[in-house]
Amino acid sequence: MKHRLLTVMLLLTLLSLPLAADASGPGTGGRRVRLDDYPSGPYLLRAVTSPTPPRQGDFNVEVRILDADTREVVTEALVMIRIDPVDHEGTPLEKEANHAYAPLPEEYAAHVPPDTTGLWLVSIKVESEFGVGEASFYQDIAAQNSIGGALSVGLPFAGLLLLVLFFFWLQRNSKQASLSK
Amino acid sequence: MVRWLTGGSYNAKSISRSLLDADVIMTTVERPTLGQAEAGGIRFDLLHQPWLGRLLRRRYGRLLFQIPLLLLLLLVIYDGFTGPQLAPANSATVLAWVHYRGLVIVGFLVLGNAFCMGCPFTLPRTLAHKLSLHGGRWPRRLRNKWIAIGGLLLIFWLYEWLDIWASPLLTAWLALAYLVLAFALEAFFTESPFCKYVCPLGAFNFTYAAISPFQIQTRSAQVCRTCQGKECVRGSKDTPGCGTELYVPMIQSNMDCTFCLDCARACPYDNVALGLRSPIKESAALRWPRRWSLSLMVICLAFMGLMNAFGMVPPVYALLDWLDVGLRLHSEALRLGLIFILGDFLIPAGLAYGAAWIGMHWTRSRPPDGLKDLTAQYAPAFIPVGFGIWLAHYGFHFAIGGLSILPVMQSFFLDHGYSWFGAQPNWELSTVIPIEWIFPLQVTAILGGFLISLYALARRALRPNREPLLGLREMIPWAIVVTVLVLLSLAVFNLPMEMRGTRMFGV
Repeated sequence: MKHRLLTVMLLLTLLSLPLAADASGPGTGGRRVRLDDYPSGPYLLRAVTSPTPPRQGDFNVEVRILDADTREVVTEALVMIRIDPVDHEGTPLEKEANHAYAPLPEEYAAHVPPDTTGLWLVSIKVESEFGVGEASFYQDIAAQNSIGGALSVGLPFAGLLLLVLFFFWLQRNSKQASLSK
Repeated sequence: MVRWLTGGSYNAKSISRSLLDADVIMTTVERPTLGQAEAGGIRFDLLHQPWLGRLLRRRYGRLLFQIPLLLLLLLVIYDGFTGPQLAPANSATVLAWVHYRGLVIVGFLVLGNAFCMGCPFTLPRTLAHKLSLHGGRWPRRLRNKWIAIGGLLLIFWLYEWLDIWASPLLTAWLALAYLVLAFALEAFFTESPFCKYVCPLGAFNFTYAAISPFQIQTRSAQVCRTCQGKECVRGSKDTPGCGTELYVPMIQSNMDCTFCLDCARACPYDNVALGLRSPIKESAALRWPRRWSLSLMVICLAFMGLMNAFGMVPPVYALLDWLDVGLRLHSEALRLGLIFILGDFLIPAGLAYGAAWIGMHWTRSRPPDGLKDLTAQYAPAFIPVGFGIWLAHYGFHFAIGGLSILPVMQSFFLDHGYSWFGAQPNWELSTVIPIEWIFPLQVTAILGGFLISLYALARRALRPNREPLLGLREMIPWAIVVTVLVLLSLAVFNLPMEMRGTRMFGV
């Protein structure tokens, strides 16, 4: 019981501290469709990115593949996601997208975190018995958002302190006023 | 029985008792005139502006706002049931969870309770009201805000548990359930209990309309003193009176006012104004009714703002996992229910009770109603900080996804064979303002609300013939609660937030 209480207190303490954005998995931080049934070889590709806006160290791509002829969902394919920096420093990264990581079971998803801010080229390559398809789009990667721990804690406490000081100032003034009377 | 209300001094209890007892309500035909000079106390009266004022005061003026919203409601229901079950591509989810919430909060800042003014749920309700010829009155024991608090808790819990934001179908069901409930309550009861005592949206709107720049006021107190008909609350031959039974000369706040303007239409002397006022008057200075349910609703809503945002950031998943493994609560509904009951009600209620208790003991004061008095004294100060948190949250969604309704509607019309708005939806449309502005604006909203709340607490603590330090002792526990609320909110808003209804799926 004591252990549980301590864990709850620790959790609450951790939650009360400003944390760096640490989204895990697609769905945390929002999604946005970048390609909507985009013709790519024998496929129609829908690509969804998350979070919104994507930030340095955190970027997910989900892909839905439709057979362009039948519009049936293709679930047996090799899907590779690659990100390359455009006109700036950064480490290119390529990962295989899989069903397990995707929120919707028939889709594919991969976590491809860019290590720098700026413009990146996102490429999707699909291979299956129907053939090969490729598509790409540009994605701007933003820096992490935070006002920092010192400000997050400092500003509210500064407000509280000012309030207390204001009352002490009022008290002193009211005493002086009553003495002068 | 025929009963006349007498002129002279008015009293809320006598008016409502008279309303309760009267079987037939008579109105006077005597019409005192109102001189321009008498209306001089109101800084700006929206109802007496050219064009807009005349439009609002027309008998069917409210319909001009209700009909477009009713059409949107029907679209939400239709598209929710028949459209693509992909939240960001369906108008049901985008309109309900991005636009409604974003615009309603902006509405408080520029006008007041704008959504209740155009509420489409009240249209079928009006029909039900006409059917309820022999309906009874809403039970006296339920004439408080406990049901509204319960309704808010239920909505927020269902919203997270069922991921309603990610489901156009469930969103449509929710809208339909709302229509049916409003209709049923009106059919069974003579007054409008749905708005005043039940509707969670109304509870939210009533609370945060407190920071609105407009409020129903009288143009001349003298006219009301001599008025015998009290048509503003009892209705006239052609126009119903106030649905929530507010008597215009006694209105001091926007609480329970739906901005329907029936009072203005019913008044035979044209003596009702929608006047400009200080947006922080209610939070900082006004003496609120001493009722636990009202005070706790205001305080809980501020914490609900925090919890609603908390439900969208990564640590909530860690907490859910911990409850699953550590406490062996395997049901997600139960785990979420526990988090929300604790965070939305038990913790804020406990903190309020504790703050009032500490304040009372530190000052050794004994208000007539004890803790209830002190809670009612300081509860309104939670409105600005609560509003700041909600603005940061709902404003974020609107700022990020406000324009997404355009491709959604393009897609809707294309699905129905109309290419009026283009052959391809432009899914690139989404943000209303530059993304880099959003976070600073969120922080500004929270800190701005916090500072106004501190000011409101200070105003409420300072009383004539009492030493300021005694006021500080009474108020400081409340200020600490507000500060902790802001600290937690800043922590949550520093985290990435899931996007509800804007190009995303449910997980």
